[in-house]
Amino acid sequence: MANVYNWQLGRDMNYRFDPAAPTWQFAAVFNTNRCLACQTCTMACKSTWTFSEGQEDMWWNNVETKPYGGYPRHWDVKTLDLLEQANPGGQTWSEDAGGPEAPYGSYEGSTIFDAGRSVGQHALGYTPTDEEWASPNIHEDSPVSQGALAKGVTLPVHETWFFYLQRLCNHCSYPACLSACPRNAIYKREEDGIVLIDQERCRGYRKCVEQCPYKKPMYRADSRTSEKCIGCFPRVEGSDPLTEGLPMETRCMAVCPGQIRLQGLVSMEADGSWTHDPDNPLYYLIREEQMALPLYPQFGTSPNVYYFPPRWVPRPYLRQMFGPGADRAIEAYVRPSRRAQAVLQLFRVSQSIIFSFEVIDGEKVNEINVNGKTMEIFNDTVIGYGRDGQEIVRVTVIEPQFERPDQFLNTI
Amino acid sequence: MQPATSTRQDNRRLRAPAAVLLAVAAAVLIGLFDVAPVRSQIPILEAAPTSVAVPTDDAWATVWNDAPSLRVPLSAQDIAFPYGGGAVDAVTVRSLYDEERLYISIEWADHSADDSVSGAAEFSDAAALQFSADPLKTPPYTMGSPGAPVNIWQWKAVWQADAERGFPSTTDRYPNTHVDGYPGEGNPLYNPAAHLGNPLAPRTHASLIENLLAEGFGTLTSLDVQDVEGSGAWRNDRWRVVFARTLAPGIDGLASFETHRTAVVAFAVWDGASGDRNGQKSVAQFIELDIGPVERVAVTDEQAQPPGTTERGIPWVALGLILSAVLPLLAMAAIVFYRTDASDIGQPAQRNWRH
Repeated sequence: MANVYNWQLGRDMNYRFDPAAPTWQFAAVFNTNRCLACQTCTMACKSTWTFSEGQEDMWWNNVETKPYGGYPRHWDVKTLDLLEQANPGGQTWSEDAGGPEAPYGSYEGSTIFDAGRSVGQHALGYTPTDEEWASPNIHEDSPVSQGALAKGVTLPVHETWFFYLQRLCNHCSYPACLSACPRNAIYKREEDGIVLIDQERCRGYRKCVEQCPYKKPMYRADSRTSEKCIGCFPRVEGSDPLTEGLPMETRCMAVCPGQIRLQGLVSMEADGSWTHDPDNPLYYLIREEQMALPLYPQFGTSPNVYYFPPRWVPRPYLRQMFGPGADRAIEAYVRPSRRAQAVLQLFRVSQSIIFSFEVIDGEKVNEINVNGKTMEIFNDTVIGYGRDGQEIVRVTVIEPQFERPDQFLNTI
Repeated sequence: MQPATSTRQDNRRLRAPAAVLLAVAAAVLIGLFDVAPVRSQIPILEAAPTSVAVPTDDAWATVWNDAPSLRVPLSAQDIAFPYGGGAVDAVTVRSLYDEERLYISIEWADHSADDSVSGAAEFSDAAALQFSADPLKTPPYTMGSPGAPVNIWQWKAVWQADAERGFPSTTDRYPNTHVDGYPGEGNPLYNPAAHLGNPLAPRTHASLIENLLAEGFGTLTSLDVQDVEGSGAWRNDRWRVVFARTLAPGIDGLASFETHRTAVVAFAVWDGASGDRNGQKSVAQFIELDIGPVERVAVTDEQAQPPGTTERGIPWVALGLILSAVLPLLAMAAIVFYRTDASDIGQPAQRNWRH
C-alpha cells in the first residue's frame, strides 16, 4: 500500500501502487448544460467496439438521466451508500481551497481505497447484477417533482429538474480497476494514460467490475473476460489515416452533434502533477478556470473526464456529485471570462486533438447582464494547434452568419 | 469499527493469560515428550495402489469406495487481498495410483452446483490441487514464490457444464433475446480474448482440468502442456472431483511423483454462490502425500518439508524449560498490549488446523 497525492482531494491517500504518472494523460471536458441525450456518442461507440456476441448489454459510453437513471442501475448511489456505511457521516470537505494543487479544498472522508481495507479488499465496491445492466437508459427524462407543470421554473435552480450525464471510462490516475485486479492484468499506458485490460491475462474474476466505482469494466460472458472502454487508443495514437499521424479524438467525442465534448491529452510531470500549460484548452478549463469538475472525486480514483455541472440543478446534489467546486464552476460557466468565451468555441470543431490554443482579440460586440453582473462579449478569434504545432482550426466567438441570396432561396 | 462492548473487553483480558497458560503447557509437553511441533500435526494422505482401472470421467466410481480418506479442514484465504472464502469448511480427499498414473479425488459439501458464469455476478464452483513444481523444493503454500513455483490443477464446474451441455450462447442465456445479426461474426478480432489465446475464452476445452503454474500471487499462468485429466459430479449436495495425471511426465515445471516417496499437496475450493473466485477461496496448507507406503524417517528430512516445520534433533527438553521460564515474562507484556488491542490472536498457519 503506497501513499499517493490526489490533487482532486487536496491530500495524500492510500493506493495499492506507487505513483507512476504517464507522460500524457487522456482527459476530456463535457458540457452537461448542452447535452440533448441523442445517444449518438453511445451508438458510435457501440458500432465501433461492442457489436459482437456477448457484448449485447455492454455500453462503454452511455448517457443517463440523473438523478434516477443509471447504467448499471444505481451505480453511484450504491457506492456512495457503501462509503457512508463504512464511515458514517464522515464524507465531508474542508472549506479552504489550498492553492493550485488542492483547488477544491481537502477531502476529509474515506475514499473507496481507505474503506477497502476494512473489508479485506483493495477498494470498496460491489458487483452489479444482470438486471442492473439490462436497462441502459432507464428513467430517461424522469424529473424530480412535477411542480413545474403548475408553476413553471426559474433559475438559478429548478424545483423540477433532471439532467443528462455522459459517461465513459475516466481513465483514472489511480484506477480502482487496476488496483483490484489480482492478476495485474490491467495497466495504464505510459504514453497516454489510457487504462486497458489485457485480454490475454484476464481470467474473468470481475474484481475490476466490483471495484471500479464508475462501473465501466464490464463482463463478457462470451469470452469469460472483462472488457472496458479502450479510449479509442488507435485514434489517440494517431493511427487513423484521416489525421495523418496526429492524435485524434475518440469516436464518442468526435460524433457529438451537440458539441458538448472536448477531448485531448494533458502533459504530466513525473510526480503525477499536471504540467503548467494554460494554453492547453483542457488545462485551461479544468485547472485555470475550474469550470469543469471531476465526477465523484471523493471516490479517490482521480478521474479524468471533467464536467461543466448543469446549472439548474440544486447545489447540494451537484456538490455531492462534483465536489465543493460546483458553485465556482457554475459561476465560471454562466459568466465566462473573455478568454473562456473563446476557448468554449473549440468544442467539436475538429477531430484532431487540440494541444494548444491562441486567442486573437476582436471587437466588443455586446454587453449583457448575468445574475446582476455585466458580461462583455468580444468577437475574438481562437486558433487551435495540433501536436505538431500546426494550426488545426480557427473559429470566432460569434458564429458567422450568411444570408442566402434571393435567387437561391429554394435551393439546397 | 464497532465500539468494543464491555463483554468483549473482559474476554480480551481473559484471553491473554489463557494463551500464556496454554503456551507454557505446550512448552512443557514439548520438553517432556520430545516431539517436533507442527510436523507432528501435519496429516498424511496416503495414495493406495490399485490394480483396477480408475475412470477419470466418473468421480463417484466404486473404485474409490475402499480408498483411504482424509478429512482436511479449510479456512478462508486471508493472507493476500482479495480476502475471501470460508464457505467450505473441509474437504475429504482420497488418492490412488497405478503403474502409470496418480489419481486424487476431492469431495466437499455444497448445497448448490454453481456451474454457470453467464451472469454478470455468477461465479463457478471450482477445486484445485497444488503441488511443488520443483521436486527439490517445498514452496510457500500461498501460490509459491519466485524461484519456488507451484503446479496447480484446477477443475471448474463451468467447464464441466460446457462439456455436458455445450458452451452457452446468448440465446441460451437469455431465451427471449432477438438479435438481427452480429457484424463480423466469426472474425476472431471481435473476441480479443479468444484471438489472443486466453485459455478461458475457447468454447471447448482439451481437458476439464486446467494445468497451471504460479510463482507467487498474481502470477498464475496456464501451461502449454494440458495433460491433467479428470471430471467432477454433483450428487446429494456434494461435489466430488477426480484428477489424474502421469506420475512422472518428465517435463520441467510440472509436479513429478515417485512411488514410495512423499510429495506435498494443498487444496482449495471455490463456492460460486458465495462469489468465490481467485484469492477468494477456502484453502488448506500443504499436507504430505505418500505415494504408497513410505519409509518416513528416511525421506521426510531431505524431501518434503512444509513451511513452518522444524528440524528434528533440537534438544527439546532444554528448549521447553527455557520457554517455561521466559513465557511468563512475555505474558506480562502481552497483558499490557491486550488492553489496547486483541484483534487477532491466532496465526493463519495455526488456524488452518483447528477442528
